[in-house]
Amino acid sequence: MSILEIDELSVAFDTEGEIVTVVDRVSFDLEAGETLGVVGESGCGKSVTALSIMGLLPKPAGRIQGGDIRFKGESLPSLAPERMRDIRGNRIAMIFQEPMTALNPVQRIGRQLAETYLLHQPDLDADLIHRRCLGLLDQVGIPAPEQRLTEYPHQLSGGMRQRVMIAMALASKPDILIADEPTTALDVTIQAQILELLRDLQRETGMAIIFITHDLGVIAELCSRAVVMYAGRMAEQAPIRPLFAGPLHPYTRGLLASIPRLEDEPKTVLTTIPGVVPGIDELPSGCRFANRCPHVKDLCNREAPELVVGEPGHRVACHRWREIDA
Amino acid sequence: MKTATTDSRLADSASGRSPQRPSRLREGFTINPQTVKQWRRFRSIKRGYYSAVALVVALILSAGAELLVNGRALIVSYDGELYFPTYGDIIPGNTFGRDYEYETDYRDLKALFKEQDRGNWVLMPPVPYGPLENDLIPGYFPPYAPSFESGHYLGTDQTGRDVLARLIYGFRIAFAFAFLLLLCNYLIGIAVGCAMGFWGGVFDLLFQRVIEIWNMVPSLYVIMIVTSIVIPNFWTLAVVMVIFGWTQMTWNMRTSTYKEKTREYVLAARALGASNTRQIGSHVIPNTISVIVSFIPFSIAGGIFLLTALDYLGFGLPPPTPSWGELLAQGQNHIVTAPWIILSVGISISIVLIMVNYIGEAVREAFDPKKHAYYQ
Repeated sequence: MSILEIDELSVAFDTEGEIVTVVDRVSFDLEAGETLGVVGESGCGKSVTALSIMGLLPKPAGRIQGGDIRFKGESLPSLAPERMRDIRGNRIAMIFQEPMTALNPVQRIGRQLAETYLLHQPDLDADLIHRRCLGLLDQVGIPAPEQRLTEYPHQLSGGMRQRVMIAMALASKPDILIADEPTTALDVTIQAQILELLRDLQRETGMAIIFITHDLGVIAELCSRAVVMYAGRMAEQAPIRPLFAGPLHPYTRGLLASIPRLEDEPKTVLTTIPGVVPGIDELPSGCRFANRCPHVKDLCNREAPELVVGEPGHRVACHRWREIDA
Repeated sequence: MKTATTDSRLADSASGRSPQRPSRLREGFTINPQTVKQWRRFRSIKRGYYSAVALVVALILSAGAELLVNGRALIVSYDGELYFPTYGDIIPGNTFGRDYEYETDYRDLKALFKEQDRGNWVLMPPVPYGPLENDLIPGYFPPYAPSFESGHYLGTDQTGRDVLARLIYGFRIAFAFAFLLLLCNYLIGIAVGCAMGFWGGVFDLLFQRVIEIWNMVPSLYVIMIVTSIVIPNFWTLAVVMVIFGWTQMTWNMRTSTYKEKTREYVLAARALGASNTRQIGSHVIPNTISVIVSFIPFSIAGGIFLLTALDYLGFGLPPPTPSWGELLAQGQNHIVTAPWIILSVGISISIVLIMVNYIGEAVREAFDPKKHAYYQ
């Protein structure tokens, strides 16, 4: 059963009178307990999609232009603010990219961990909250939790802070955890630890994770399914194996080809996708990848491709995927 | 010296460089190491620190000014019984065997008991004059010059009231007034400023214009007009001043809130389901506290200055309230015949305002974010 359904979601930003659509008809489902990767370059709309699920689009510029987000059948964009606050942090939790700035610098860790309980379970008594906070810190692998509770964010390292953020998100045992590039700001060893931690936590709690990243390696390691986004649209959506073994969209192919491999000849030039992502205010009317695509035809410049089922469970938005499949 | 070692230990254990080492102050409550740093920097700025100490001592002493500067005796021993007239109702003269029913003249009583020598005695405060008492010498017109003999250490004003007593009680009133003004102005200013910064948009725009227009009202004239129609007391004067004073803080809070609300921890709090008031209350305001704190001393100085100016012009607290402004006006009138009035009040005002500004300077320096490793 899908716990979260995103249906033709479009998000627009109003920048100085000009309305720019940054997320264009994105659709995907999230099954309970699965890990879905959302991958794409900076500015492709990954984070905006996540923020619109949480109902946290920057106001007043950002707004949902069309489509729907359904959480257990309930439409989130049309919920009353109070009801949405109940869901936020309680049923759907989010962790952010920058653990350095996502914790309040003037509050102790213990106070910030307790916030979720204070907000969503106001009748818990202080002792129980304290014990649960200790349990949470223990669960995310923080040593000497008793001491950490009395410390301030600046006394912790980046990895520790990200663990605290994860602990905060886990506090209410959410159904969905949205992780917006949680490892980008961390170094590689810490990154591996955090991924390991997320995987373990998911096994323990059975929550679904939406993992947003630009790192295909992380996706391959953690996710069962992935959505590839390009310039605000979905390019491809597939289970991990088919996606990596037989990508259908030229963009995904380009991305995978750009990853250097151990068996490559040393000192060869890295493969790149030529060109740049079109600016948000100069998006073409046709396929948004057309200006960088090696297989571009007239049709691509004229008409935007629809998302079609290529293979079972594997959807792609390309006019020519059948022809270029090789 | 002892406190200094405690401090450094505090900072060491709190800096958290070695997470394995258990903090020595784990039990219960630890002080934010940032606060410890700020306090130490404040202490290291000598003139600010000593001004703060001196001013706090002066404020504590002035809170008990009735025990130090008063026309009423501290203790009266009469016929084997002890009386403490300082606080409470007046004790009529016939209680102590005098022939009048109004309040006892304790200085007179003291002289009498000494003369009678029957074991009765009176203990007077160090300055044996109240701020409202006219101590007149028959045949001479006040102001009287300073004299240790009579106990008028700084002389008297033009109606024979002790200058030192009026200075001290005036100090107390001025500070109480400034603190009250501060509290009200900041409560309103912070609330409005935060709301403007947090909600922004039309609300912000509207309030900006309202405040700009409100600031164009010449507040001093309005206060003068109001106080010349109704005779003000402490509270009404404070209300009138708050009506014009609250706008100051809104601008600072507005910008700080604009800055803080876009920080990721506020977004994170929203992602946890925190309501707007909670975001403001526990995330935005605590992070703007350094802005608020650095303005406090200067607001206090401003409050004292404003009250003194109004009293000087005669539009402030009604006579015979002891006030520095009123003394200043008197001193100006008698600058040749009684220079001690203007000298004492002028020097007092200067010292107090300089000290408050030194404190403000030290506080600002201690909270200066340049010196801290702040997150971007």
